[in-house]
Amino acid sequence: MARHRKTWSLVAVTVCLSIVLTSCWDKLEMDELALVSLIGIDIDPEREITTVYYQVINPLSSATTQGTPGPDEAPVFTYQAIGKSFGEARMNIYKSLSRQLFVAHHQAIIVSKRAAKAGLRDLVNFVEMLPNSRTSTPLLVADAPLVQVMYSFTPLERLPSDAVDARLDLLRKNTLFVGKQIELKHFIERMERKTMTVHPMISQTGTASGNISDTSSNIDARQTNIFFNQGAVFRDYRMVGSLTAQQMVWYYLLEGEKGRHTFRMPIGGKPVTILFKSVRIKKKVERSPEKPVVKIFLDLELNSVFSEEHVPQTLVQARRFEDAVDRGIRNELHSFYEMTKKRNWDLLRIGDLLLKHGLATPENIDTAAKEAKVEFYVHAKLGQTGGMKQIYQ
Amino acid sequence: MSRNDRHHVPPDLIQLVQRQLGFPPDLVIRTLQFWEGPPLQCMYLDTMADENAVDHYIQNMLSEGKLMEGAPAEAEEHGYIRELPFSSFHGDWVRHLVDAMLEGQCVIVDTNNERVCFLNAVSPIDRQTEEPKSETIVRGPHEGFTENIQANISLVRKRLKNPCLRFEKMQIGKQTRTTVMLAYLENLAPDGLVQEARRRLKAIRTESVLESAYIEEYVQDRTWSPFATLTNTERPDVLAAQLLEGKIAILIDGSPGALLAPVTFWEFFNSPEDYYQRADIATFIRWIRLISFFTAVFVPSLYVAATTFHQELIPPRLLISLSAQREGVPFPALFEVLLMEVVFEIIREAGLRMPRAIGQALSIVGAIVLGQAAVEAGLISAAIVIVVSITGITNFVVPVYSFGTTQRLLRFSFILLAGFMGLFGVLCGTLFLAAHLVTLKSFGVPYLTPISPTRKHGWKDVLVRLPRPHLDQTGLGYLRKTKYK
Amino acid sequence: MISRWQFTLLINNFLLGTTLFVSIQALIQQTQQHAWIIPLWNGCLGLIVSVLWILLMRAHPGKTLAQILQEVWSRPVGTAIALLYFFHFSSIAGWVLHNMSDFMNGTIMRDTPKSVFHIMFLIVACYTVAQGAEGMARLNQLVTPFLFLPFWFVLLLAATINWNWERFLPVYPNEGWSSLFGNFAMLGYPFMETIALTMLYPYVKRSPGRAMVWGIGMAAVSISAILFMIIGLTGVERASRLTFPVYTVVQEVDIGETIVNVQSIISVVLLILIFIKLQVLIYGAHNILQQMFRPKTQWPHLLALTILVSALAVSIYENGVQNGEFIKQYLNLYFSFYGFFLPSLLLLSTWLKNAYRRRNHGNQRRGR
Repeated sequence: MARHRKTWSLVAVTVCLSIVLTSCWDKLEMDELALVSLIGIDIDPEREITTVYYQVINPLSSATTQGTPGPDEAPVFTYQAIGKSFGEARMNIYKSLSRQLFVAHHQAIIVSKRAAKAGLRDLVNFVEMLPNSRTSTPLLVADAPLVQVMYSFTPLERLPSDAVDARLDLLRKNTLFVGKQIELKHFIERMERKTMTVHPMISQTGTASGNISDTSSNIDARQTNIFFNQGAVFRDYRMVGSLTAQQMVWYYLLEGEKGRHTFRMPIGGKPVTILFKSVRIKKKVERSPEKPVVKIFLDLELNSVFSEEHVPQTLVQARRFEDAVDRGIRNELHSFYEMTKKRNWDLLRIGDLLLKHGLATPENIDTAAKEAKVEFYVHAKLGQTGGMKQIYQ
Repeated sequence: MSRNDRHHVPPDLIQLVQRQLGFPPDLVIRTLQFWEGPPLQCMYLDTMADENAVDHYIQNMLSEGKLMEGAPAEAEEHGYIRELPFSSFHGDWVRHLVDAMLEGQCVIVDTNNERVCFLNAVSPIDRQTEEPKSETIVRGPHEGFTENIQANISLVRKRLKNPCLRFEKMQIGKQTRTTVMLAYLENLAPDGLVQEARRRLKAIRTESVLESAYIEEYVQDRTWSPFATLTNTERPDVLAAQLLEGKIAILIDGSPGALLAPVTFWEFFNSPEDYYQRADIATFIRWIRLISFFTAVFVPSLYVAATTFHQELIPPRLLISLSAQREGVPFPALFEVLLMEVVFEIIREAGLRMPRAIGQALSIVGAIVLGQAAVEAGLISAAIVIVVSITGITNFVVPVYSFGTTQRLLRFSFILLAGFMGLFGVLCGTLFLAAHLVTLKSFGVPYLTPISPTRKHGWKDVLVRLPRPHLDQTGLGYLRKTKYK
Repeated sequence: MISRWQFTLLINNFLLGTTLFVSIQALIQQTQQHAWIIPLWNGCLGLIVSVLWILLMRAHPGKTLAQILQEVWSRPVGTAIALLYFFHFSSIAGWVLHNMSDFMNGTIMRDTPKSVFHIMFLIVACYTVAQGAEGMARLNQLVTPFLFLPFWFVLLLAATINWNWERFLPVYPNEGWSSLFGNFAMLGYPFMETIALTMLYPYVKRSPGRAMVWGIGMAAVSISAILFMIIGLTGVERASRLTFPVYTVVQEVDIGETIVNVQSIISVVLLILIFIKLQVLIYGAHNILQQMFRPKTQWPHLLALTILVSALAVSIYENGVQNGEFIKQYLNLYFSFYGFFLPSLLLLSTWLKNAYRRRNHGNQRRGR
């Protein structure tokens, strides 16, 4: 035995290596994955039922070497899981889903309005607790019934999640209807800091259709299309109201977003369409004996490319143009602020600002915010002009 | 010379020699009769000796009668004559004569004057000097070593006309008695290195030496390692350049490949073309080679790890596409990759041995049938074919062919590790490999010099190739600092 | 022989080891947005303790901890204490492995049994340890750039997308600096564990003491910088609740929608740090055995050590909650025993012995 020690040790090592044959515990082939692109959450507070919708991509629905998909091939399938809590719902999904859930590439979370009103704290805890979930996806609220949103296709984009994602991207870059901080992690941070936040809301136009041929063979893009028109306002994990699209513009402008906005306002008696972009926003707090004054300085860059009604010809006209825009926007911002004060929403985050400067404490933050005086100073400058120096009269 | 000495020499010397050699058909025995005295016997193997040289000398002998008059040995045009009086050799005459004849010398026995003359008319069958097929370059010399060691030495000597160039001759191999030469430049190669090389060569006990690999396996630092610690080359310019860096070379008779030591990991990515082209393109190409090394070793395993364990690494669009490709494929990704790698190895091996005439047809079979058709039949997915082809091509980018075999061995191990434990397995394998490389030594020089024991001046020629005025001309940086055992 | 820079890097990586995985959440929970100051503060304390070790090693040049133990206290007592250290290093190695498998099971690979992770790492670590201290140090030096560059690149990339200075503002008004300086959360773990590196001390070519000080300093600054980045990127609210904040930070990086979800790569890269820590501990334990018993062959001991450490790894703590409690309540005391108390006792004994010897010599000379 001692003589053949080397042989025996080799045998022992080989036997130990047979562990490799146990076939890898975490191995998952790609065709065993259910690639989730969109997640929908609905909570029924009375019956305490949580419904989770997973929109799973059909991999054969995109063009590959096997050929292009048929016209009737559904690009996504929506599965529904019901349970008393998120964890239960997650387990119950396998009663109907034949593949392993793979949420790493999902592109948005859509929450129904009643779930948002009931409170999203449980959802947030669930998502953060799961080891492989990301919180860096947009959180959206559905204005239409969630069932309708999750079970309908969109024109032009085969995957509804693509429609949502691409649209949010375009809106973010080119307009002020959507901002940058609409992801779940921004939601968590804002809620934990006891401030308020706004997330886009999805509505639907036309009749929702779950049949791909209906959507892809209809010229009318208004049918079965989703639509961003409002914003949901959240405080303390609950939805407390909504903002119209126009109000969202002023909200995001005050947040410091760098998108552009087209605005029609009377200048010199005539309505003129102007395109403006925020260059810089600065918030200053001045201590005064009675109550603190918050001064918000806004620098805008104007572009007259859409101003088909009037193009300033002289410097005096341009100055008049700029002054009129200054005044108009200042009025709009002021009325927006009054609206938020009336509804008791601190959307400008005045309280937070005062706390930073030590002029308020966590206990009296709301009253301090309400009492503070807010002044807007807008300075618009005409930058780029359009393709014509003079319009056709 | 006294009468007593004569009995050292057996009287029937010729017959004994014939019997020792086994009466071969190429043994020629000529009797040369001069005007007086007993005849001279002239023996040689006509396959090894140059008959013209022998005839030429005999004619000279006959015309000038030099041998008869006992003139001192002279160097002739075709060979030289070494004269050995009978009394000065105290050994086995038969054995001595047989050895000489097997080397190609012509033996002239003169019993009258009691001496033997060896006429060096060696000229075995040889081929022309041509560029080695596995080490071709675009710009530079196109000469290569042949199987004749004397020709090889002359190719080296004509590049290094340096009196310090030393060649030490040894005979290794009990049955083959192959001539092996240890070459070095005495003023540049460290003494310790030369002594160590000499010691290792002298310690070889083997029956036969037919190729440089036989010697390499005795002389290398570590037997059980996928990495070669000696490099080999068939180009005399490469050999000369390496000798100028202070290295030692081992030339073997009968093989065009010469061994060079010590060698570091980074030198396997050097091609002579790096030094015959300009510095900027040389640096770029060197980076391509390094990237190819990593591609050849890691790409299949990373593919297996990403597609079976860490699918979130793959971008969403690609994931959908790959997922679609995998629908209906029966085998798991690991098995597919292994299968395709083995098939590629088979194609490569067959390509080496295949006669040129059917080469074209078979490559079409290989490409179309095994690639395209297998994908369309749903046996493998298309991405695998791409992965395996990229791997296969990048495998041959490295200039030294023997390093390609290293890459292949490593690749298979990493594929198995990735299939077992995903990226964690690849990590463990990489750490193991790194630990192995860091402690591997080639003739006392750590394998990863100048990166691992950091030698700053060595950096000029590792990841970049600085222009010649900035390079360390003698290149002895790391050799000088190494301690040899 | 290890060079000075290699030793510094080794200490740095050793200290970073499992710190990035285990203690971040608790620390941020305790100290909120000032969490990044704690490593610097505790690092200073660790430096002071390391001066103690350096003095000890300088009093016995060319000897490792085990040899010093045998020399200063008699052979039986020294061997007994060295065995204590052996078990200490083995148990920390088991701890490290369990932390690692906790992380792997909690994030990337959920179904693999823990022992597989342990044994795979142990095999590679034993192979490297068998190559000696030089092999270990060189391996560390070789892999360090591949470790730091991707990690910091990804962190900085995340910072360009996600950074927010407001995350450093206090949520509540300042509680005062006393609470910060009274926090020793990082002292025991990891700074007291550096005693394991005294086993490598004699093999360093030049000024190992300075290298050790540099190493500890570098590590403290590194940990502080990483904590700073984490707070800036995820904010206190999330970081104080997430189990693995580093993992979450890296999860959210995406470069142009092509390179997404790089958390698997970065986690695997950070595992190298854990490997280096494991390696040093295994080396320390193995070397203690070698120096105490001087066996002829190495591999039986390495095999036995593998089995011991893998068993320890599985059983050392039940779950994360128990681990957290132990770290909070008992760890500093436990590690200080091995890292501070025993070495100071050794140093004291050395000084007393030297003084006694000098006095004896003086008496002898006077006596003549």
